[in-house]
Amino acid sequence: MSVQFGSVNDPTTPSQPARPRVTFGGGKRLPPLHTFGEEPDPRFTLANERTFLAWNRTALALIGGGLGVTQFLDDFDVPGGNKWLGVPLTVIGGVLAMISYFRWYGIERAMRLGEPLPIARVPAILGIAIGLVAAIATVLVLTT
Amino acid sequence: MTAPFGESEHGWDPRFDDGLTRERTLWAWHRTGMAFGVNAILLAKGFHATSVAPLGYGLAVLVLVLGATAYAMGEYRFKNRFWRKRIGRARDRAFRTMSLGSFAIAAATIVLIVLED
Repeated sequence: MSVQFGSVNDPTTPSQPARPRVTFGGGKRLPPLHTFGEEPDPRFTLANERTFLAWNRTALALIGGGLGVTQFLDDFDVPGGNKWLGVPLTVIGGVLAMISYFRWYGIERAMRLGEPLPIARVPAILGIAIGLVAAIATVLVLTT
Repeated sequence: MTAPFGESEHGWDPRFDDGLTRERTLWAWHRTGMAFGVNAILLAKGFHATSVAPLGYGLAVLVLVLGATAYAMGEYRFKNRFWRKRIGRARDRAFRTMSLGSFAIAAATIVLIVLED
């Protein structure tokens, strides 16, 4: 049997679980990926893996940035000003780190089951969050 | 049985050549390891002269361990055939570890910032 390019799984295959959904703290344990569907083209799997790692590095950059702001910058003439800027960055980084896993899992699951890839809402949310942090930074700089 | 990646019953099939994707993925893991390393340095340096310095150092060591794990994971993935089930299991665990680890770093950093005051 030859390797299938971008293999699509038959939805009626018995190995497919009862449509496990990727949830955020819904109490449902995510089934291991190798227990259902078919292994997709490794190039797509690895691309998904690199995307996960890129999100994870973004999260680490936000955490490191937040840490740097709180520990290495002055208060901007506002009591605790550096924490107003650094803590939100760190929080965003922590949340993004968790989201990156669920995003990776959701995409991998869709590829294994031959379903459409889930829509990415994270970039929009991240954009808004960073915009808010930028607004805080602007206010702090202007009041200094 | 599935034929090895890049091969078919007709012989080598360039459509399935993984090319440099595995190498790119290796460097992505290494960059992630380095990002953990930078965070470890920031933690150690940032909390160096504070009342929570020992905790900061401890956290920095844990972050370094995570970075080393990412580095090792990249090497492991690069050297092994990635479509095997056991590799899949290792991958699931490694990704969870990376995500939870980064989340824990963020949470611990905020705790240290609060404790420092």
